[in-house]
Amino acid sequence: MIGRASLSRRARIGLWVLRAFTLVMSALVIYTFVAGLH
Amino acid sequence: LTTEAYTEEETIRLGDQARVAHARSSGRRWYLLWLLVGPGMLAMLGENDGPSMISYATTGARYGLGLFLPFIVLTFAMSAVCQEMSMRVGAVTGRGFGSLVLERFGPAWGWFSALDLTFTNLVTLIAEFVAIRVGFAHFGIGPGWAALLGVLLVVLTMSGGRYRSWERIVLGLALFNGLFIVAALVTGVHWISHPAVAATFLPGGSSTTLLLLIASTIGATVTPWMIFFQQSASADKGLTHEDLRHGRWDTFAGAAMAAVCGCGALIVGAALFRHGGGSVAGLAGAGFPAALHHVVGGGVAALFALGLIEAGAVAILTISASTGYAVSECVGAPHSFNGSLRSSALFWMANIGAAAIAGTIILIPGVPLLSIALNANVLATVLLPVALVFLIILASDRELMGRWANGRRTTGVAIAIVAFVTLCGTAYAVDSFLQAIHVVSG
Repeated sequence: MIGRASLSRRARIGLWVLRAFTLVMSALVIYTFVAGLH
Repeated sequence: LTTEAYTEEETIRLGDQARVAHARSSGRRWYLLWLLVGPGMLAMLGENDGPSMISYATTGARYGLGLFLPFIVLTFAMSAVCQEMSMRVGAVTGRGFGSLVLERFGPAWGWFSALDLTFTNLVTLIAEFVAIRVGFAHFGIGPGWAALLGVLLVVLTMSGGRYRSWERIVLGLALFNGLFIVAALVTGVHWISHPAVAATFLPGGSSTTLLLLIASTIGATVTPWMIFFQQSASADKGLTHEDLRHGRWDTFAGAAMAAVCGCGALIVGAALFRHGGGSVAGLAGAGFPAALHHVVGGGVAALFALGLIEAGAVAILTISASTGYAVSECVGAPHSFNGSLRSSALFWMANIGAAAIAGTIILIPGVPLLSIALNANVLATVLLPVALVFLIILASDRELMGRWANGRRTTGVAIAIVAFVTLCGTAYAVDSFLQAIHVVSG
């Protein structure tokens, strides 16, 4: 087992922001794809 | 320790590593290279998959060669940088990407990564079956056979019970990606040498379509499943830090071969540029083979259709494998092609299950084939930054990687790639969404 990485608070926040951002972008792509079917 | 202390899969891996050590100590350079190539070429040629080849051909048909020929080469150079990091982390740590994210950043990130990958892989696998279906349709073979072939291939290649045999079979199939080069050569220069085809460096037309094809082209060369696959396959193959030089050769040679084959598909598509190429997308089900048959001739159409079948089949094998690795690694279950159905049950089920679900979906009547194929790549592009950022953190981690950690230059290039991929994915997502809700017009 490898130990946990020690990420700074800023790095952790940055990862969560990136995560949320990509989820929103994915939602836009999926919405556009579904809208295009009609 | 005696061999009794090892599991069955570890014993097989140790045997493979002993063969590599013997080849290295006896100075058999070519044999050593033969033993060590695999994960890099499979990741690269596997990503020259059905949707990618359809995407390249669509791009060639709509915009000619001027912008996208160099763009494909650029994206494969980007891909080589990312995949080299993936191989290096796998070889140095002996762990797959999912395992490392889970252990290094905690279960939440491990599960997010696995869920993202499983979702995009399912969408992409549907697109792979679509590609086989389009290829089969050209020869008058029904979609049921496409679904059956894909799932059977996954089961049969796994049944050898050895990573090495699985890898060699898939590598043999992947070499047929060269059909796109043959198709491009048969197409001939006269179709693509027209100035309008060769010199369209700044294409006109709808910005959304152009952004879709740019994002799709990136998604055709740098994807989350490749990161998972190459790192996990490098660990499964038993690569170590001693094998890094050959691992790099494997990765860069794979990128070069895939770039040439991808350009082959683009060139074949460009033959349709002056013959209504812009409307080829609307042909969906019959798609490119039918259009090529009409414009260039039956030979090129048959080669392209066979190429689509090969591209889809190889990608089904590699993408299913990456799903198996990711799911098993995240729950800490055994995950190796060296394991049996009994010892690596979850790995087998995830591998076969992903292919079976996707194969079933393409049998639903009225499925929008080309749209799924293009959007699968875009979705991969949009979700890629998170996986890439984790890869960069892992590859730069000196505590984990020791002297094989990223240098500043590699990290800088990798960060620039993340920024570029994020920018392109975001531009398409926002632009197409605004058009979908009728805020702007294309």
